[in-house]
Order: sequence, then C-alpha cells, then structure tokens
Amino acid sequence: MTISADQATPDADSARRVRRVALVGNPNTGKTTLFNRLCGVRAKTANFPGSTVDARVGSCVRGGRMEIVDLPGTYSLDLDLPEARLCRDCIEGRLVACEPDAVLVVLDATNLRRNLQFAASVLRRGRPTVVALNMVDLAMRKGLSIDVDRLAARLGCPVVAISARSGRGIDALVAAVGQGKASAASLPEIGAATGAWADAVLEESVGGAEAVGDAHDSLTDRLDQAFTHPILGLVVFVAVMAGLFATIFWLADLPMSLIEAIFGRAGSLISEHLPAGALSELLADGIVAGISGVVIFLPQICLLFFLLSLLEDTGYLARASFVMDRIMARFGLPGQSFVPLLSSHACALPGIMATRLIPDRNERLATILVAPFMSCSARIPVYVLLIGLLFGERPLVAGIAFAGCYLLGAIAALLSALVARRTILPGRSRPMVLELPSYKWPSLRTALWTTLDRAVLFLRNAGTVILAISIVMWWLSAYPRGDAPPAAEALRAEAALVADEAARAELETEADAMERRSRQAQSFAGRIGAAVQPLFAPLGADRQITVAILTSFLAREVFLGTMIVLVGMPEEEDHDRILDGVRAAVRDDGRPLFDDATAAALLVFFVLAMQCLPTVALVHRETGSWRWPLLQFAWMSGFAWLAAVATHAIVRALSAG
Amino acid sequence: MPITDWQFWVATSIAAVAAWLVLRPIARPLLRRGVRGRGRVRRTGLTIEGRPANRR
Repeated sequence: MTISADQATPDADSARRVRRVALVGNPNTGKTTLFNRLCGVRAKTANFPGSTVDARVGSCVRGGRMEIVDLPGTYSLDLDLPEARLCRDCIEGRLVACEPDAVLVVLDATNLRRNLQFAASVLRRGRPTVVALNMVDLAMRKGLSIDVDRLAARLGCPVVAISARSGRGIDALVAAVGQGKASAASLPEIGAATGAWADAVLEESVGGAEAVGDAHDSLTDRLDQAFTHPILGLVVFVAVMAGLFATIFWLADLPMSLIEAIFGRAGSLISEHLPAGALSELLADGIVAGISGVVIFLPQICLLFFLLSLLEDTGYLARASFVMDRIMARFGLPGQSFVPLLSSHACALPGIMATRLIPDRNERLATILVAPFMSCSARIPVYVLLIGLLFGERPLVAGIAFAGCYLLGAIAALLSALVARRTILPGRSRPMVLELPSYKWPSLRTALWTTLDRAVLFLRNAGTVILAISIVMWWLSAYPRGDAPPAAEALRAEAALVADEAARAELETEADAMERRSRQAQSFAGRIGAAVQPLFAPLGADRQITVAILTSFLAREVFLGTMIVLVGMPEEEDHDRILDGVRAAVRDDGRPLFDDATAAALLVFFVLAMQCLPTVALVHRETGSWRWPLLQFAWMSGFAWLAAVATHAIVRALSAG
Repeated sequence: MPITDWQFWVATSIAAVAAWLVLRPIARPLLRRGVRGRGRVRRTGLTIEGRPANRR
C-alpha cells in the first residue's frame, strides 16, 4: 500500500478559524469510531427537530479548529429515506445552522466498490471534500494493495489512508481536511454508469475489481454460515442474548444494591439530623428518593449500551438483525426491533433509547409504542408478591405463572405492533438492506464513549423529569396533613406502659403504620384514590389497593412499597413475612384484602399496563410529541384494564364453580 | 394546610417549580400556538441541547 505524500502540516489560515466538517459514509465504515477518535469527550448529542434521526457534534481535539457533525450512515445520498435526505440536505447547505465548510467521506478500504459509488455521489455536489480510507490495516491483512495517490487523482480530492481504531493516519487526515477542495475530476452521473466508473477506479488503484472480490474473509464466511443460518443462527442469537442479559442482571445487581443503600442511608441521615418539618421530609422523601429513582437505572443502562456497543463493533449485531428480520417482519417490525424489545426486559428506558438503531420512522414508532409491554425488572417484585399470594404453596405452578407473565407481555407487544402497523403506522416493512461487515475485535474506547453518551443523555432527558415527578408526588401525598387517628394515639399510650422492649417496638410500629395510612387517606393523593376507586372496583380493588395502583403509575415497583405501608410493616421486613402480612390484611368491611380473583386480575393488569412515568417522559422526548406517549398510555392501560376485568370475572366464576 | 409554616411555603414553591418542569413540554407549545397562530412550518435545522448549532 502506498500512502499519499500530499499530507503536510495544517494550513495556517484554516487553523485560525472554526471549520464545520460533515462526516458522512456508508453504515459500518467506522464513522463513529473516527468521530470519537477526533472529538473524544468534547462531543454533544444533537438532533434535527422534526426528524427521528440524530447526530453528534464535537470539536476536534487534534489541532485545527474544527467542528465535526457526525451524520447518520446511509448507503446512498439519493435514496428517499430520512437519513439519506438529512445527509443530502446538510451537504447541499439546505439545513439551518448546519452548512459544512467541508465534507469528510469515510470509505471502508475492504469494500471499496460500493463505497466509491457513495463517494462519487458526495463529490458530485461540489462541496470541498476529503476522503478517509478507513480500515487500511484490515485491508492489508486481507491482501489488498491500494494506491492512495492514484485514487486521489481519480476522485479529484485528498485521500488519506487511516485506521480509526488504531489511530493511524489521523493527524494526516486532520491536516488534509484544511486542504479539502471541490473535485475537478470527471465523475459519473447517477445510475448504472456509477458502477462502471467504480470498477474503472478500482482497476487503476487496487489492481482490478477481482482483487477486491478475491480478498474475501474466510473466517467471516465460515462464521456467517452458522450465524446467519435460519435455525442455527436463531439458536446462536438466543444464546448470545441470554448471555447478554444474564451478564447485565448479574453485574448490575451489586451497583444497584449499593446505590439503593447509599440513598437509603442519605435519606435516614437527613431525617435524623435535620429538624423535623416539611423541608427535611421533602429532602428525604422527595428529592433524595427522586434522585435515587433516576440513578438506580444507570447500572443497567450503562451495561446494556456498553455490551451492545461491543457486540455491534464485532459485527455480530448486524447478523442478529438479519436473523430476526424474518420473524419480526410478520408483525410489521424490522429485525432491528428485536434488540430494543429484548433490552426492554431489563428496563423500557434503554430499550426505547436503543430504537435509534431503526432507520424507518413508522417502524421505530411502532417499536417504541410496544416496548413497555415487555416485562421489565421493575415488575418482578410485583409479580413475586401477587404470584406468591396466588400459588405460594405450589412452586412449580408459581414458576409457570412467572414465565406466563413474560410470555403474555411479549404476545401483547407483537399483536399491538401488528395492529399499529395496520392502522396508525401503516407501511410495509421495508426489505432490510444490510451489509454484513467483517468480524473484528471490538473497540473498548468506542464502547466507553457510547456508554457515556447514552448515560448523560438519560440523566439529562429522563432524569430531570423523574426527579420533578417525585417531588410533585411527595407534595400530593404529604398535604393536607390530617391529625393522627385516635386509635394510633391509644396504641402509643399502650406502648408506653409496656415493659417488654420488643412488644413496645411492635406496638409503636403498628401505631406509625396506622398514622401513615390515615394521613395517606386524607392527603390529595389519597382523596384522588378514593375518587378513582370505582374505576378499579371491577378488578376487585378497594380503596387501599386503588391508592397502591395509583401510586404505581409513577413507577410499578412503588406498588410493593405502598402495600407494605398499607398493611403496616416496616420496609426492611423479609419477603415471607410481607406475604403473610398482605395475605392477612383486611378491607374496611373486614373481608380479605386479596382474594384469588383480585390477585389474578391485578397480575394481568401489571403485566399489560403502562405504569412508568419516566417511560412516558422518555417517549415524549424521543418522539418529540405528546401524541405518542398519550396514545401509548391509553392503549396499554385500557387494554390492561379490559384484560384484568375479564380475568377477575373468569377466576371468580371458576372459584364459584 | 399549614399555611403559617414557612417550610410549607418553601416546599410548595419547589413542588410548583417541579410541576412546571413536568407540564412545560405540554404548556409551551400550547402557549406558543396561542401567540403565533397555528400552522407555522418549522424548518429543520441542527440543534444542540435545544439551541441552534451556530448560536452556542
């Protein structure tokens, strides 16, 4: 391989002013790796209002005052697709605040024929252009020999051989960007001539198209025989994804417990050391609990994006999308939907953020709409409680019921996607055009930047809303403040007379719980609960269960905490005692709080209902409209209510029979 | 309601700001629509943290 000698020091004039450079290329050419190499931490996620495509903007950290706009990857500028339209508009200077001074085209040196056709379509637009010939190290390993000077002569612009992964040639590339010029070369028009032109360029600079064709990667071919096989590919996919999620659950467990413990301790310290009053309660129960509710999601989100980025970088994720495309297409979803839907089993928030992989707007929206049907980890404590109430004595049946909840959620998601694609989000699933990149070692650096980027985005977008909602909910639950009920005062007086310390503590705990219940009933949240109770009566819910359901619309896991408060137990109690307490709890009329029909109906409701305000907030942010989150909330909760009412009626009829 | 307690008013003010943060995405387009009229076509541009890229 000969490297162009036309790569001198940066031009002095260009170094003095900030140049905006648009980074474009086919998907999987290493554009993001190059962007991260050029900009590092100085990158910010940007978006184009009104479109579902986003970009990243960063200042170049390698000398030369440059602002790099990382545009989405596209196979051609002339396609009628959002990402192609966006790149076209940006290069042609039709976007507000995004007219580039130069275009940096990233080409995959191991796949030059199609990449050259893309370069030609950029050069035709007459903008000063520099070509980065990426993955030259991989090309050399494949036995390719590229004459960079000849290639530059044919394209009529500087060409720099680089390896974004190792950093080779990056300084020369930065220098060359200052010298980018509009191509004066003879370029083909759109159409069949482009292919013939690319073949001719290859003939001159690579030694013929056959040389590229012969340089196939035997390892990639052998692995693809297994990974893209209709059956074996599916088995490999299930194994890889099971491993991915097992790793996320396993690794996230410790930091999540740690975060929970730290914030729990912070709340206790505030309660103990600040004078009692509204402000200390707001700090402990509103602000600290709210921040904890945001940060607790971070380990799962970071791990998910880190591992997905590694998988994507190896080239496997493209194969996984290809394998799943056949199945997902039957429900109107593309293969790329599978990873977001699977991610939603950990938490819907990273799942919804992962839908950015889906280029088609309607397919992406359909995936966002159904993702919260997948049973997330926040539902698990509720499943454990309700299944424990139903089948506590039969572990095998309880296990089947647990798996059934996951299956019910997945079926509801796929059927809802089918309905959405046939009604409000019409359009055939476009055939997935996907180039399977060569397998390679993943870049730890890229994975870390992607993780950091997503984590910051989550904290900024969803975090602020979660915190704000927690503060509002605290206020609604805290006011107006009623007096302690006489029964609680009587219990406290009785406790004061008891000599045995354990018995006294038990009485005081009972009095505290009684007071909390009474205060909750008198608060705005409690009054709203009482007013809404008739809506949940067909599910068998009384006033107390209705309050627990209402608070769980904030976040599902709140249901368990509310039930613990309602039945009067300290939150540190172990699971078996909580279950016994809930089972023994009674309604205002003395009947058991949960019978089988109510527990089964609530279980179905929690599988299907949209009870996560952070998800509502994120869907609003991702779709840029309130229409979609409101529709999602109405559809999921309405569907859940109907299914729960039917379940209640069926179980009741079966019990009576 | 403890209206004589200054802490209540501080807590309520913070909750009001939080409520505004939650409701702002709904309220802002409604207010803007009322002021500038319906049907304005917005040109697509690049924004970073909600501001046009060239005005940072």
